[in-house]
Parts: sequence; structure tokens; C-alpha cells
Amino acid sequence: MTPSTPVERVVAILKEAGYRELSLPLTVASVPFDFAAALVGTNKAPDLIVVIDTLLDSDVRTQQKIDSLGRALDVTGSRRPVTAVLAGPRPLDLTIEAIGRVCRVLPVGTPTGPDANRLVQEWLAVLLPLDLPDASKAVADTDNELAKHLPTNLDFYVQKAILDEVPNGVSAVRTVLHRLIVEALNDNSDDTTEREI
Amino acid sequence: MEHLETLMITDFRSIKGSITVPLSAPIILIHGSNGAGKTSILSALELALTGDIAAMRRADAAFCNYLVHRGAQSATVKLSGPNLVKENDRPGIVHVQEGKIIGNGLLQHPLAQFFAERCYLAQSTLGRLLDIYQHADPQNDSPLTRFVKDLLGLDHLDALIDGLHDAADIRRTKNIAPEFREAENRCKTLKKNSEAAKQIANQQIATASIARKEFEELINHLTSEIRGHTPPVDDFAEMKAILEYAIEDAPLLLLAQYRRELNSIQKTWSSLPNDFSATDRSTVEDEQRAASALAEAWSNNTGRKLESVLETLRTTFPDLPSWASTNPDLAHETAINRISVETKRLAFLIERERAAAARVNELDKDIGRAEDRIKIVDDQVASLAIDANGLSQALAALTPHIHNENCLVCGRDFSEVSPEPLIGHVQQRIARLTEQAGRLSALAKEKSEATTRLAALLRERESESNKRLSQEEQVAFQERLANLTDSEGVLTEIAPAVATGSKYLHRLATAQRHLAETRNRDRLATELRASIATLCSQLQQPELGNAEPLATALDRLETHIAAEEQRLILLRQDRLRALEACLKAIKSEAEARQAQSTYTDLATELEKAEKAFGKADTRRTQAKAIAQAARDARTAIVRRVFNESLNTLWHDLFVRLTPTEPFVPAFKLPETSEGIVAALETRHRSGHNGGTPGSMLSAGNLNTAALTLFLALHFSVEPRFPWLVLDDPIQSMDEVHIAQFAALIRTLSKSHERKVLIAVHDRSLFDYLKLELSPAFLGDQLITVQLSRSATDVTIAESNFLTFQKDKAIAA
Repeated sequence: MTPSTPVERVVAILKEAGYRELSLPLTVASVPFDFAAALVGTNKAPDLIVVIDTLLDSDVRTQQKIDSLGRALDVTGSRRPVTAVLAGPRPLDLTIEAIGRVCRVLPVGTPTGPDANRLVQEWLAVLLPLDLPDASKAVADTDNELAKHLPTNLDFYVQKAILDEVPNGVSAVRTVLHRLIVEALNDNSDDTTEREI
Repeated sequence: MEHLETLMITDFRSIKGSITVPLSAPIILIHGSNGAGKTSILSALELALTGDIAAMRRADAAFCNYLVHRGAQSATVKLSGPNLVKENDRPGIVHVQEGKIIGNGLLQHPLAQFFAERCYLAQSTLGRLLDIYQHADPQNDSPLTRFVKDLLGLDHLDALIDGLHDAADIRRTKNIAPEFREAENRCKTLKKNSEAAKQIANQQIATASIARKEFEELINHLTSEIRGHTPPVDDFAEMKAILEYAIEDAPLLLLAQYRRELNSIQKTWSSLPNDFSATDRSTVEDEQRAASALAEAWSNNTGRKLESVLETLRTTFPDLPSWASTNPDLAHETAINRISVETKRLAFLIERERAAAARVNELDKDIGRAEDRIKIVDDQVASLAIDANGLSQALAALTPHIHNENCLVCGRDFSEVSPEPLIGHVQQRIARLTEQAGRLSALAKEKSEATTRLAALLRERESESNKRLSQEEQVAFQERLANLTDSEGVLTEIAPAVATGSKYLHRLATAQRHLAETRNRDRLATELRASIATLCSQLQQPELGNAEPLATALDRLETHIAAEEQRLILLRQDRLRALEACLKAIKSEAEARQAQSTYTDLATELEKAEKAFGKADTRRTQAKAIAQAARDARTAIVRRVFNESLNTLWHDLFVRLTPTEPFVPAFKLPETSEGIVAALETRHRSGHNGGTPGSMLSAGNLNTAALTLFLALHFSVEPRFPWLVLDDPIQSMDEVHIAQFAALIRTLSKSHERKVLIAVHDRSLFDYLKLELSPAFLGDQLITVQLSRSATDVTIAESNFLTFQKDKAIAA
């Protein structure tokens, strides 16, 4: 299903990241809360995420809802981190700032166009898993990479002589280069093909 | 290292007294007001782990002097855990005393360095992180560059790129391999020499061609002269042999001989008198006849007389010359002279005979007297015939022995004979004998003189006798003298006639000589004509005509010989010139061949040298290609790692904290011609490049950029020590960012198993983090440490262990 509203887009991204969508209305300490969507993290991320469609709720209403949720959670002694995702038109900075004092607030706005999904994802990034590169693979396979770039018409003898010295460092390579050149200069044979080692 | 339990700190930096910081939870949150000792705890951890405090060392090399809390003697930091209590001299306990760090950190290199660089972000470092990372002095790589290199592990490629660096540029190759330069120079020299040799060879060939042409022209000119030989012009050796033969020598010799003959004829011709033709032979003959008649008449008259006298004289002088064989004057004069000499000699002989006869007479008388005297002396000597002298001496010798009257000889008594004593008798006897001896001596002298005189007389007589002529001789001399005188008279008489005869005879001789000469000249003229005729024939010239004067013929022949000689000399000149040209052509062709050979040798050598050099250069090119491949591989790796890994990660981290910032920091593609130089830039989210982070980002976002860069680097490498120690990293952040940061830290800790130590000074932040980082599952833990000071300024660390509590608010 292609998300048609910002809320749907946010929910879709979060669900894909492993968040579970809660049934509405969200009830905390027997108090029902009217959010566009509510999700909760599974496993080691216990975040409670509420999504508010700012097109439907005014700034004041939005702030009140968040404040109420905060109080309800405090009442129950919950330590669950709360994130408010504000989808739709961006509220006033004052409103965002006020909400920010209660919980994390992510004003994703209403991104459109081909980059819309990416922009929403970047807003939500902090809630999404962090993809780390495989550090053990960061060390590149230089030999294979080199093999890919070596010209195919190289003289096997020259190539092998040089590459054999690579593990011995710069000066060894330099020495073998010198040796190869001097050797060629002193080679009086008419043999045009290189000798195999 | 998760088993590290506690960190005990005593009198370290701003911490007075001892505190113990628990380390057992995944997240340790430290709070304290400014100066309470948050940073001291984190640097104490670094010291205990690494034995050093890199951030402080960076700020002040003498930092050790300030590690001990003011007023205390020494400081101690000590890590403890289940496995760290076994040994006495264990690492992880570090003392600081009198400005010296004593003891070793828990971690060894490179783990210690890893912690200092990748795990611990000191507060003082954070603000300058971007600068620190990018700072590079000319000699050393910047830390960022170093990180990149370490991260990529490109030693092998770098070894190739650096080791083959010199192959990329032919000048550098020459510098590292002088043989390469020498080979190139040799090729150049050989090429130059070869070209020069080629030019020389071409010149020589052209020269040889010209020489051959010149020779051919000369030889064509000569061809008819060379014995009718058709010269094999191509065969220089044969031509040389032919030309060396002096074909003109024989004719010239012959001509020389003819010329000599001609000269001889001319000489003979010129020796003839010039008036030859004028002299009349008959006149000469008449003169001769007249002279002959006169001479003959004289011969018959005076000549006969003279000869008759001479004939007579020849009985005495057999060698007298005849006038006919000499001349009358001479014969006459010789005869007169001889007669005169002989006449004088005969007169002398006769006179000497007379003188000798008279002297012999006188001598005969003297001889008679001398013989008489000798006879008288002999008589007297006979009377004194004993040896008086010897006897007297014998007796004298006896006298000493006479001592009495007894005779010493007979022994008889002398007194019986005479009354006279014996000695007296003997002495008387001696006296008498001595007297007789004197007489005898005188006589002997007398006789000797007489005998000598006689002998002289006899010798003189003999001499005189020899001078005497015999009777016959005397007569013959007289007669000859008379005859000579007669002859002399006749000769004197005919003396004038003789003189006349001489003249006649001289005239005759002259006439005869003239006649002979005339005849001889006639004969010579005939012979000369014959010779000239022969010469004409030999020289193949027209014969000598009867009417042709000899002189004209001689001139004609002379001219012919001269012309012929001239022709032959010219031929010789031409031949020698042709020979010279032939030799020159031979020499030129040899030189051309030699030059061609030299060129061929050089060309071969050049080809060989160029081949070797080409091979070496091919190898250099291949090495260059390998270096380029290594560079390409490095670029590819670097691009991939930076674009696909590092920049993505940093981007992700940065965006998490600043979702509204349009510019995102990134690593600049670090490949330059010199190698890897890591730098930082920003990129707009739309993709195009921005400026450096410092110029594009706000202070807060710059801080965020630094923080996320640190984290990106941390996560790009293998987590050899999976700790993150952050000292108040949230400065200058607004609240939105702080919330994002808290979520990030939770993700790092809970999803990526990093032990996180964070020190914060802001109370609300502390509370927020405490909430955000609450244990989220069973077994999860959070430790909070709150720092404060007692009334005596002693540091108090209050630790609080938070555990997981099931959330009752929402049925998750």
C-alpha cells in the first residue's frame, strides 16, 4: 500500500523498523488519548511513539495531548521514552519547544516529491536502527582490488617479480624495479619473450 | 573488559580524598556541577587504562605536575575486577608522585592507543576535533589521514605506488637506475655515430664512384696504347697490374739508343773540319809527292852518309838511333854527344895508365926496404929466444920461499956452486931476465910496425897494378879514339845538310798526315751516311736521299726522335695518371667497403642496444602500469570505503542529531596525486558540495559534526575495545538535539553493545538521559554517579544502580 498521508508514511517507516502499532485510542492509566497513530518499540527499544496529524489538531490541542500523555505516564511511573512525531504542517517553534520539554519531538512536516520518503526517514532516523558497516570488512581486499585494475597484457615475469616483493615493503619494490631494469639492459639474448621464473 | 568492576581514585586532579566509581553497567552516567570532578574521573579512567592522558599531554607536556590534588602527596588510580586482583605488580594501578607517573595502564599498545584515539572523547578535544583531525605538518600525516590509512590497510598498495614511483617518470627512473640513463645515452651516442657512419659510408661510396668514373675516362683514353689490351675495367687488380707495366720503357730505351747513335753521328759530323768540302785532295797529294821526292833525294845522299857514320859508330854505341826511326837532327845530335863523352872517357883512361905505371915503380923500391928491416928485427929476436919475462916473474914468486942455500928446484946446496948466496943469485937472475924482457918488447913493436908498413905498400901496389891497362887495351883505346875523332869530323861536316834533311822529312810527314786525314774524312762521311740510312730504317723514316744533305737528315731524325720521345713521355704521364686513378679507385672502394662495414656494425650494435633499452623501458612502463593499477585500486578502495561506508555512516549519525541541518559534513574524496590526504567538507542534502564544516555549520552543529565524526570513526573500525567515553559532549546543543543525542546513545549502547560513560553537568539533561537510558530489558542496567563535595571539600561520589522495571503504562 502506498502511503497517502504523512501519518501513514511515518507509520509505514516505523513499522518496517520493527515498531508495533498500538490500537487506538491509546490508553494510559485508563485515560484514552486521541493520536493519529501510536507505536511502541519491541525488544531493546521501549520507545512509545505517538503520531499527530497537525492538519487535524491545532498547536494548542497538540501540546495539550502531549502534556496529558506525559502526566499519565508519570502517574504510572513509566520510564518509557516518548517521541512525538508531528506530521503535517509544521507547528510554531514555541509549540515545538514546549513539547520538546516533555518528550522528543520530530516535526517531519509534509515532505513531497521523490525525496519525500528519504526526508521522513531522516527525521525519524534517530528512532531507526543504525546500520553500521561491517568493521571487520572495512579493511579492503587490496589484492583482489589490485588484480581487477592490473592490465591484462602485463609481462608475467615482471608482474610476479614486483608483486612478490610487495610484502617486503617500499624499498624491496624499489630494489626489484631497479633489478628488473638493469637485468633487461644487460640481457643480450634475442629472445623477445620473458623468461619464466 | 566488561568484567571491570570499579575505578578507585585518590587525590587525583580535582578529586580530594578517595572515591570509587562503579563500572559494571553498560551505561554509566556521571553528573556533577562544574569543578566537581567529572572530567577528573574520565581522565583517571584513561590513565588507569593507558598509563597516559593524551588530551592533557596535547595541551601541556608537563601535565604530570598537575595530576596530584593540591595539598596531597600522591595520587592513585586503580582499576579492579574479578580477574585483576591476582598479581601484586599488576597493571591498572597507576600512581602519580612528584610529577611522575608510576605504573602501567591496563591496556597494552595498540589497545591503549585505540582507547585514547577511538574511545575517549575528552571535552577539551571535542571543540577542536575537526582541526586536530585535519592538522598535518609537512612531515607527518594528519591524524585523520593516519586514521584513513590505518583503516584501509593500504600498505601493500602504498608499497607498490611508492616503490614504483620512479618508474612513472623516465627522468626519475634514470636517477634511481644510472644504468638506464647510461643505456639511453649509449643509444643516443650509437645512433649519432651510426648516422655519422652512414653519411661517411655514403660519401665514401660517392667518392669511390667518382674515382671509378675518373679512372674509366683515363683508361678509355689510354686503351689503344695498352698493348691492344681490352681492359677489364671492373677488375681493378688486373688493371693495376697492366698499368704498372711500363709499356713505354722499352721504346724509350730504344729511342735513347737511337739518340745516342744520332748524337754520336752528330759528334762525328761536327768533329770534321768545317772547310772539309773546300780542301782539295789533289793539292794534298801533290804536296805529299813533292815532299816525298825531296826527302828521298836527301836520304840517298846525306842520309846515306849519316847512316854510314852511324853504322860505324854502332860498333861502339850499339844503341844509337837511326835517323830514319827518329829524325836526322836527333840522330846527328845524339851521335855527336856520345862521341864527345866517349872521347873524354878514353883520354882519361890512357892518362891514368901512365900515372899508375910510375907509382908501381916507386912502391917496388919501398917494399924492398921494408922487407930488409923485418929481417934484421927477426934476427935480434932469435937471439933472445927465451921467455925472459915469464921466467923473471916465476923466480920473483919463488924468492919468499928461499930461506937458505938449498935450491928449491933441485934441492942441491948452492953454496957448492958459488959463494954468492942463493937469494942474491936469484935476484941478479931476475934483474937480467927483466932487462931482456924489455928488449924483446921493443923488438916486437918494431917488427909489427915494419910488417904493417909492408902490408900497406903491398896493398897500394896491388891497387895501382889494377889500374894499369893491358897492352891490348892500350892499343884498342888508341885506335877507337882515332876512329871517333874521324867520325866526329864527318858529322860536323854534314851537320847543315842534316838540318835540311830534317825539314824535308818534317814536311813529308805533314803532307802525309794531311793526306791521311783527308782520306779518313772521306771514309767517315761514307760511314755516317750508312749509319743515318740504318737509323732511318730503324726509325721507320724516309730513306736518306742522295741529294739530301747530311745535316738536314740529322735534323729530321732528331726532330722525329724528340717527337717520339715526347709522345712516349706523354703516354707515361697518362699511364701513371691512370695508375694513380686506379689506385685511388681501389683505395676509395676499399674505404667505402670499410665505411659500409663500420656503419653496418654500428647499426647492428644500435639495434641491439635499442632493443635492450626498449625492453628495459617496456619493463619500466609495465611497472608504471602496475603502479597506476595500484593507484587505481587504492582510489577505488578509498572511494568505496568513503562513499559507501564512512560518509554514509557519518551522514546517518549527523542527520540523526540534526534532522533540520541542510549541510551535512563528509570526508572529501581523499585521493590526490601524492597519496591519501584526508580532508573534510560539507555537502548539501540535495547532493552538491558545500564549504568546509567550519564555514558552513553553526557552533552547535559543528559540535555535532565533531561528535558524530568521532562516533563514525569509532564505528568504522573493529571494536577492539568497545567503550565510548564522552566528556560533556552536548554543549551548545538545543533541546531538540539533546533528545536526539539521547536516543542515539541508547541505540549505540543497547543495539551495538558499547559500554558508554557520559559525564554531563546540566541537571535537566542528566535527568533526561537518566530517563532515556533507563534499563529497557531484563538484565539491563544503568549506573548514575553524582559528584558533590563535603564541608571539608572532600569529593563525594554517590552511585545509583538502576535496573529494569516492567512498564505498566502500556501493555507492550
